[in-house]
Parts: sequence; structure tokens; C-alpha cells
Amino acid sequence: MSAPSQAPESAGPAGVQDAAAEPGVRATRGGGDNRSLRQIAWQRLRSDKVAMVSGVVVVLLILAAILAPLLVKWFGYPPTQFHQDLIDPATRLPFKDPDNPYDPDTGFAVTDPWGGISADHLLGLEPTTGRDLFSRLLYGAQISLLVAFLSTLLCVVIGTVLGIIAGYKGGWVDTVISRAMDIFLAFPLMLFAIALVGVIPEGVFGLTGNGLRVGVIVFIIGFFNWPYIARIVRGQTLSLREREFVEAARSLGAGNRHILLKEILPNLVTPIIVYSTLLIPTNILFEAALSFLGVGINPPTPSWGKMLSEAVDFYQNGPYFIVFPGLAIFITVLAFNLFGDGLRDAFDPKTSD
Amino acid sequence: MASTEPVVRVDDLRVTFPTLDGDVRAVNGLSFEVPAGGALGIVGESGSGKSVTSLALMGLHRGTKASITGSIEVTGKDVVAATDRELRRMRGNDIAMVFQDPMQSLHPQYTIGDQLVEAYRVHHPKASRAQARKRAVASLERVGIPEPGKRINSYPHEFSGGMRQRVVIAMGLMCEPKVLLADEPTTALDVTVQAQVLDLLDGLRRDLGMGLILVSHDLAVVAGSVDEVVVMRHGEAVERGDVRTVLSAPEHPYTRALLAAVPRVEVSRAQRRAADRAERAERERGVQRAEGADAAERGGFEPFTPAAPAAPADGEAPLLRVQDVAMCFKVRGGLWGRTMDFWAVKGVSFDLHRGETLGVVGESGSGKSTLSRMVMRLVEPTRGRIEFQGRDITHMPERRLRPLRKDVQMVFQSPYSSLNPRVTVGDAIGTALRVQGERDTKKVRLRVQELLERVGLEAAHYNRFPHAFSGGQRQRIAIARALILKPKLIVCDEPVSALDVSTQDQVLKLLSELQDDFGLTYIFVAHDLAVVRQISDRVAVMKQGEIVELGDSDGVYENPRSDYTRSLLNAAPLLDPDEARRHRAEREVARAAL
Repeated sequence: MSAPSQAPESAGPAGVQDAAAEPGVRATRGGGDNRSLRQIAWQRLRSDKVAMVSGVVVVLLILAAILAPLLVKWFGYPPTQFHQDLIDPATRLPFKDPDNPYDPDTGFAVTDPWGGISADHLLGLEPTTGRDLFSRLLYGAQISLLVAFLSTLLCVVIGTVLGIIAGYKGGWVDTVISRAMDIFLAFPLMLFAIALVGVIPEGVFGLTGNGLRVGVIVFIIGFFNWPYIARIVRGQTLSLREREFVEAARSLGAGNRHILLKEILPNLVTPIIVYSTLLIPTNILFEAALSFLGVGINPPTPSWGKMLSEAVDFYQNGPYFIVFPGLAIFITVLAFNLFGDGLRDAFDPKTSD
Repeated sequence: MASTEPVVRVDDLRVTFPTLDGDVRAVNGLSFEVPAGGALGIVGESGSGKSVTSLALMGLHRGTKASITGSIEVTGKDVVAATDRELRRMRGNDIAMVFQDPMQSLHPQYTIGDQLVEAYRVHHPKASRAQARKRAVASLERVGIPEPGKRINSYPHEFSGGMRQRVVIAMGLMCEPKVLLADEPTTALDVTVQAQVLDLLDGLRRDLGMGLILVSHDLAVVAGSVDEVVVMRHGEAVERGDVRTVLSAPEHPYTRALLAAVPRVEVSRAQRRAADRAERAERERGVQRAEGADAAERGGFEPFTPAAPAAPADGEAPLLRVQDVAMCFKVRGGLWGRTMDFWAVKGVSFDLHRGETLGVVGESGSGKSTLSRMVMRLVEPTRGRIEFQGRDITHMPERRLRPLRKDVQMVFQSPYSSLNPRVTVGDAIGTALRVQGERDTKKVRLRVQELLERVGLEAAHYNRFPHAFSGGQRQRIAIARALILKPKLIVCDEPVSALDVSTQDQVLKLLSELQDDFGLTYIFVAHDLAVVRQISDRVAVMKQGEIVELGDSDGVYENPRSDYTRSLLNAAPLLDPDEARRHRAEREVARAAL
């Protein structure tokens, strides 16, 4: 066996044998040679029932919020319109039968144990004012989702820029940014928000009313939650920076700009998308909490948090008023979370299929 | 081999994994037997199903989606049909396993003593700790751990890789199994350590009369240690028989091709080059006949004309001159987190002439990768001087270095990590041109496609992502990327060590073809002695940051001057079973003399 290698069988044209020699790689991939990683992720996502259902719920929620004016026109009443003729002034709850509101025997009002749900008012009526809950819930979704999306966007922008710089530069830059993250995460955010809303005068930055309120809330959430994204981006950048393809780019003569934008950033898109979907529900809850505490949106514009805080007054006589806004928050948060989990599993090559 | 009943009998084993893209038949009708005290080698390239087989032997597919049919009998007991409880009793007692990576198969939080004692007491709950401990010390002594009584209280991180693999083997021996199953036990180890571990396994088998199943991708690793060998491909055994017969007179074409692809340390650079060139000439004649006039019609764009192949002229100034370079890393550690200096390379000098290949061999930690990164100026040397084409590039700032970068390129070790998973192959190769200032997108594309074809891929692969390619194909892409700027020098840092033998052989052929065509100069860094010999004109042997021997390739391999080179060569695995056993005997004599 000490002769030089002269077996002509192995001497196919260079390149032809590769595929045959490594069947494992090909065999497990079927014919999907041209699929990008994103296409593979999409295939995995489609086979994940929980993720698909929650994804559909997310899409429906967004559609419902966008189409709220139309839906309300067809199925309800404007969210600020009062229906006090349907409300018992004494108990402030909706009548059971608005045509015969009073019991002929006792003379007392008969209130509806189901909160006035009817064909006109699909989710019933708000106590005291009689405003249509269905339309308030839809318009509330607009505020909740708008605040959540904008603040998440702000988190992503700040977090990505600072995270990538910290991870790539290292050294004292990394130290400064990382300590800043710690400080921001330790900040008593809720108290700060309440204080800030109190002191900001009307008309700052040309914003007034709800525009200003939304702006302030988005700013607060975005400005204090970016470290969550930044930490992930920094960690990923730290490991990507050491990969050989970065060295390869450097040895081709590429500068920092090229390496950051063309080599590292494309690899960060997936984690950023995944963690933003997981950050959105947190921000929805945060907005709800602020509105609940009364520092959110100005009345009469509806928001889920505000609806909850108003319903709390009636939890003994009309517990169902809490149910709808509570359920809306619950379903939205759950759907975004499950969808985010599904996205992460679909993109992560380590989870088995 | 005197016993009548085989200790392991596998009959028509099939293992199937369901995946999104349909079922994958990892093992497809495999049968073999191991007689008591016998040794069987299972050899195959990646994806051949050899590791799936060894996991099946241990019943480790329980609880996964794999479906297993056929029968596996270990010491007469059926592994497929056994209950979980019976299976647990068999593992360790009847059949023990040694895994590939000794860094990961020991628990970092327990002392090795605790782990060995536990391995024993799981099967002998009545045994006292003291008894188990005595056994552990004996077992450690048997695998050649010095001062076992003391070392038993050490944690895994206090051992080197080879010692850790010995500990893992000692753990496998605790319950005196009838069969030891070693799955790539030496792949993560250096050559000299690999030889020691293989010698140990061979000795244990003889002394204890255990059956040994040695699973490896490397025929040469198996050759000297087993009686019988099974060659696997696509989950099937293509050939099975006595190791001497299979290696000297293989019947199946695949075995023959595999054997031809194994690089041999005894084949010189000149022989290999002559064989490759003859083969290439043969092939090109064939292609010309087939294509005929077709090639003339293609034209349309300027062909990728190589730089004139240059014969190394005497008296010409060297292309690269490395003088006494050293690299020092600051390592945090020691007491109070003080930084310590670690010299990865301590004073290395060599000249490199145009058109020649300098091989750099060394075990892990020898500083060979650091050296290649210094030549690439990916790191700045702490000391010394590097001249490229007469210009001092040692401390040249990145901005001034950039135009020079196109003359020196690198092919990296891991074809998985050196290509950006989010960038298409075409972009990855074309980046080089764009970075160097080419703006014409169409021109870049044509050039990349041309080069893709040159390295044995297709122009249509331009828009694919790296994950769609096998390891060998990826390494071709990496080579194309290094070539596109028409460099003068290419530094190859372990370019084939992550590849299967047959793929490795093709990539080596490609590299030598390209050298002929483009007049390239290579620095070829590798740990595999045989690979380095076949591609290098001169060889530098590195040890702990220093070159211990530098000289003409044939000279170094045939008349090594330093003891270290000699011990490396003696440890290199050989394909000839008898020759391998002779080397083993020599090693034993040398060890006894110490």
C-alpha cells in the first residue's frame, strides 16, 4: 500500500465528486438548494401550528385596529357617543330592557346582568355614559398597538446602534455603553413616567393633546427599554466579530463600514426581528399600566388600560366590564409572545425540525 | 477470537429519521459481528451513518424520533427490544462508549474520581465508596495516568486533551465491559497523542480480552488497530472483511477511491505532482474531445487570464521575507487577575520565493495559525519584521495596507465559518472586487461566474446561499474568493482539515492545479503530515512557537534532523496494517526506554 495514488477511479473532473462524497449534507436538504435561510424558516414556521394561529391573530388585531372606523360604522356606534337613555341613573348600569326599564311591581330599575349586550351593542355598554364598548375596544387597539410599535421601533434603533458599536469596538467604548445599559435597566421607569407626564407642558415640539401624550409614552418606553435589544445585539456582534468571514473580509481589504453594514448587520436581522416581537407585548402592557394609572391618553380617547381602570369601580355589580379590555390585552400579549417564540424557533438552526 | 459466540451481532439494522424534507435513512441494512476479544473498524465519511450506528449500539436513540428496525445483540441481549431498565443495566456493564470530544464528555464540576466511582456504583449499588475508589485508581493506572492515587481528586480541566481521553476510557473500563465502543476517539487530538490513545486501546483489548469497535472517518487510524473493517457509505456497508484484505485488495470501487484519496506520508511532492498533472492532462484531453469546437464559440468577454506561471528563478529576491517575528498575547489569569504574557510565536524566520509552497506543520498550540495571521497582517507582530516584495509591512497602517491586500489572500480552516451565511456566494466572492474599487456590477458578476466554474462549481450557483453547499464545495468557494484578486501569495490555514478524505483530495488537487495555472505561492498550514508533504516544496516544523526544523520537504520527511519531527513522523497513522503495527512496537520500545 505504499504506491503513489494512481487509482483512476477517483479521478473524476474536479468538483463532480463532491456531491457524491458528502451525501449527508445533500440528503437532508432534499432538493431545496436554492432556498435562502428565510425560506427555510418560513417552511418551519408554517408547520408550527401554534405560531401560525398566533400569527393570524396578530394580523387580525392589526387589521382590526387599522379598519376600526369602518368596522365601527358597520357594527357599532362612534366610541364617544353617549347612550344615557339606556343607562339606569341610580346604579349607572345598563337596563335589561330599555323599552320597559322599570319593574312594574317594585318600581326599581332592572339592570342587565350581561352588561347590555345586544345586536346594536355587540360587547355591551360602558357604565355611566353608555358608550359602545365594541367601538371603544377597537379604537383602544389603535392606541395600544401604535404606542407598542413606535416604542419598539425606538428601542430597536437605539439598541441596535449602541449594541453593534459596543460589540464591535470593545474596550472602553463597550464598557461605557454596557454600564449605561445597566443604569437604564435599574431606573424606576414607572415613577419617572408619571413625573414626566406631569411636568411636560402642552405644546412642546409642536405637539398637543393626545399626540403629545403618545409621543411622551413612546419616548419613555423606547428610551428605557433599548438595553434589552442592545444586550442581544452586542452579544451577537461579539461572536460574529470573531468569525472567519469577518477576517476574510478584512483580508480582502474591507474597512469597518463594510464589515459592520455588509457582513455583521445582515446576521443581526433575525435576532432583532425575533426580540422585537417579544418586546411588543411588554410595551403593550406598559402602555396599559400607564393609562391605568391615569398618565396615558387623555379622555375621551379610549385605551385598554383606561377602560380597565374605569371598570374597576364596577367590579362588584358589573364584573363583565373588566372582561373585555382584560381579554383584549391578554390575547394580544399572548399572541405576540407565541408568535415571537415561533419565529425564534423557526430561525434558530439549533432547534430540530 | 477463540470464543464461539460473537459479543456484538448486528443484523439488517435500519435507522430512519423523519425530517421536514422527508425521511432520512441514516442506516440502511447494516450487518456485522464482533467476536469476543476481536476488533472491528467502522469507517465512513460524514453522513455515512457510522455515528448513528454507534449510538444505536448503545440504545441511545431511545426517546428521539428515530425509528429502528433490525436486530442488535450485545452479549446475546437484544438492544432494540430491551426495556429501558435492561438497557441501562447493559450500558457500561456489557458495552461502554468512548466519545469523540474528551473536552465535553466529562462533567466539569466533579472530580474525575467522583465520576469514575459513580460509573461503578450505578451498576454495583452494594459496593462501598472505598471499594469503588480502589477500582477507580486501578483503572486510571491501567490507562496510564501517572500518580493515579493523587490525580483522582483532580477536575477534568486540570488534564490535557489526551489525558482526558484516557480518563474517559478508564471510566468505560470501570465495570469491565465485554465491548468498548470508541466513536472517533482521536479526532480531536494531536497526532502524537492520537498514537498514544490508539496504542492504549490496542493494549487494553489484548490484556482484557474485550471486543473493540473503533469508529472513524480515517482508514489510517483504524488500520493498525482492528482485525476486521466495515466501510460504510450512505448508511450501507459497501465492503466488509479482514483489514489486510480490504486495504490491500479492495473490491468495491468506493473503497478503492477512498484509499486512493488518503494522503500518504511516504508519497513525495514530486510523485504526487506528477500523478496529478498526468491525470489532469488526461482529463483535459477528454474534455476537449467532448466539447470540440464548442469552446471557440463561447468567447464574448475577456477571459480570466492568469498571471504568467513563474518558475522560481535563482537569485531573485524572495516574495516574502519573515525575520524573527514574535507574537505576544496578554492573557488574564494568574493571581488577582493579573495579565500574563503568552508568546504564541517566539522568533520565526523564513524566506519564501515565488511559485513555491512552504508547508507549516505543527500540533495544536504550536503557533502556526498565529504565524499565518501575522503574515496576513490580520494581527500585528509584537516583534520582528515582515517584508512582502521588498516592502516592510510589519507595522503598516490598515489604510496603506489595503492596496497590498489584493496580493496576499487567505483560505481559512472552517468552510462553515469563513462564509457569511447571509450573503450569497456570488456576493461573497464579488465583495473583493467591490472593496478594491470595481464599480461595474456586470463585470463583477461575469468574473465571479467564470471563477466559480474554474474551481469546479457552476455559474448558476451565483445566487445561492452558503448553506446549500457541502463542506468541500464551500472550501472551493473560499478558494475562489481568495483567487479573484489575482493574488501572488495565498496563505492556506488548515484548508482541508474539516473535510472528508475524498473531498480533501479534490481540494488539494484543485490547489495544485491553480498553482500551476496562476503561478501562485502558497503557505500551507496544517497538522496533517501527509497532506503537507504532498503539497509542499519546503516544510517548516513548528513546536511551541518556534520552528524546530526547516528544510526541503523530502529531506525533512526522509531524514528528519530533530527528535520532534521524528516523533511526529513515527506517530503518523499508516494505511498498511503491518507497518502500523511495527511503528506501534517501536513506540512501545521508546516508551519503555523512558
